[in-house]
Amino acid sequence: MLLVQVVLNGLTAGAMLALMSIGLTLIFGILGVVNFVHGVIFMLGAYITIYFTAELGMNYFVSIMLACVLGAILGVVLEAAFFRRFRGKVLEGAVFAVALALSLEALAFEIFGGAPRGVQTPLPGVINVAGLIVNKHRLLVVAAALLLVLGLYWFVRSSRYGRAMRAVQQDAYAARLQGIEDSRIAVLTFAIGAALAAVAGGLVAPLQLALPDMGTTPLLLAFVVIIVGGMGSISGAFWAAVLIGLVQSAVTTFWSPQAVIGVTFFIAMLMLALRPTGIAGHAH
Amino acid sequence: MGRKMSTLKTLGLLGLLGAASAVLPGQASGQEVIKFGLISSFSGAAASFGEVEAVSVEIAINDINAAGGVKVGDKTYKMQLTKYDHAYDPAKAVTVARQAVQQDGVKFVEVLGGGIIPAVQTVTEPAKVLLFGQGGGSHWLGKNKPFTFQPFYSIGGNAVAVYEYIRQTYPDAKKIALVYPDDDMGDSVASEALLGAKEFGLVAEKAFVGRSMTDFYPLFASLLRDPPDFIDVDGMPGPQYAALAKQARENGFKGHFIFSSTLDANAFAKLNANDTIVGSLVAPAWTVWPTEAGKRWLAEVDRRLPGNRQMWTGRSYDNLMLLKAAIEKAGSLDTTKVRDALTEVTAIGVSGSVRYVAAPGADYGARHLRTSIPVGEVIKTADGKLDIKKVWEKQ
Repeated sequence: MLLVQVVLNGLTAGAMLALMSIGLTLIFGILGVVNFVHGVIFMLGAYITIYFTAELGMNYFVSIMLACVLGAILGVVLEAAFFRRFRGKVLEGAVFAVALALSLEALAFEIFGGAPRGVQTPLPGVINVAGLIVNKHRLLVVAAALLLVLGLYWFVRSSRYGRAMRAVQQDAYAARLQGIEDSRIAVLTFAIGAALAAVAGGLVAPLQLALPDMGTTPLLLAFVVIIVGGMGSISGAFWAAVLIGLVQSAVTTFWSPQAVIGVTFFIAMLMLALRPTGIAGHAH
Repeated sequence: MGRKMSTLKTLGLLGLLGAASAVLPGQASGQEVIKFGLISSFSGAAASFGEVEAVSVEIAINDINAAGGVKVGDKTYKMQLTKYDHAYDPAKAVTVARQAVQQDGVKFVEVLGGGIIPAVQTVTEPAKVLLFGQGGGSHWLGKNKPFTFQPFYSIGGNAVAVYEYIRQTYPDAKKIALVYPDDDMGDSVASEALLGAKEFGLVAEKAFVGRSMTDFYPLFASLLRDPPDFIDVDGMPGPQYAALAKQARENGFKGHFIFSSTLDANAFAKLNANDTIVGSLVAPAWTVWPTEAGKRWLAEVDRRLPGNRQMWTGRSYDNLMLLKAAIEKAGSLDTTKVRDALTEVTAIGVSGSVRYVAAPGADYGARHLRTSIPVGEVIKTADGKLDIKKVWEKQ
């Protein structure tokens, strides 16, 4: 029974990681941009959801939709105003992204203050089946993660814009020759990636109190996930998130919470050393 | 022409000097100041502590200045507060400490956080800056840290007081889980708490968690295999222990919690988790201050921070009264003389007559602001808010 509980805990933790990671890997995979601002967008998604739900009294799910839209708009602005200039310059883009993320986080502290904020879940309580405990809101997160991963996977694989994204990913110049506007694809990619980060923040908001720096640790773990899963691979990110979630759950329960970060990064190091492309990634 | 130009240049220079003196930071004309630096967390997970701490320090400084300031010889100084944000990051703490000490010339600082103080001491001790630590643990005090004082209470000592109360009141209680931050402060508190648990016949199981940890389900899968009677959460910021308590209940924990550092009732309210800690034990369980200064302090804190009376910040006020008394006794702003005077003076603070005393067995002199330890129980008021009812006091 304990083992089943550990697996359940790991799957829910993995779902939260997957939500954070799929947008990040999409942006890196298609555009080659290491988006350190992803954690800030996650945080803003949480704050937007809290504002609309707790302050304005709107329905929680509507608030998340609004966070999604506003996140997408922010992604468009970031791409058009900043990241476009760093196309093809991975290192410079990464350094810029770090600086931008820190600046936005500092601005968030000025605007929101340092006091934590919270929002109630629409699904309070737990489900207890023969001693196995699952938080109802976490089940919602799992369902949302599955839906979004499948939806994104289908979009990239099967839709016209998804095929265009993959064309740009393979060869932006050749894609342009085929009539694909790579700048438009870049904007779309950023919009989707940012929207996913904002939704992740909104879904996590009822599980913890929001603070302007709440995106830092999830972003670090998301990078581990996309390294292990393979940068640019949505399915890889999903399975890596599940794996990392299970490992973290098992290490915490059977060994020590202190060992979790070390083991997580050890897995990332091992993957980089033995299989740099990750579980399902491809060389970029 | 030459003399005219020379005169003009002189006038111009004088004008510039005058403008510069107006722009440069400093005293109001004719008023000397004693700079007091508050190096605390105004952002990050511990921001709720820093905000309240700053209010208490401001109240103390306002009271000191309103009463005429600090007399040093035949001069009178106003106290001036400058706040520095370390965001509970030791690296940032060193940066802002350098700014305070090396750029701003601050000689007296209060620092929040047992996990932060050792980092700041690398700047303050060599510079002979007096550091007043609002943080748990005793690992940052010692003979080799002669300019550091601890106005904060001993978290481990408070925990042990609670264990003594538990032994008297819950005779069937057998096991305590200690869930502490994964840093040297948590380690230091755990050492004292483990000894105390043993002294009162309680089995203690410890777990250290990162300050950014928010998912405690895997931890409770382990801890609740053999459920403890109490879970002691100390040194964590309010948002973190509120999440922990809520998740503990979701996982079926039936016992109570122990808060022997602070109780951030706001965090529980925001997480809709007030019910999770009713019946839990708190130390120190200060609910009122006995002095006139204390009553003014309570009124002002309630006005500025409604519903967020963090009584531990009263130590900041008491410390500043002692600092004023020490500077006046020393007759100097020389920090070595002030330090020596601090071990001799008493003052009236919010909690009554206060002074620095030596810890039993310590070899580093009078560095602790000690008082009795009231133990309280968390209750829920008629309007659903949390409050604390004092149930015992350890002298």
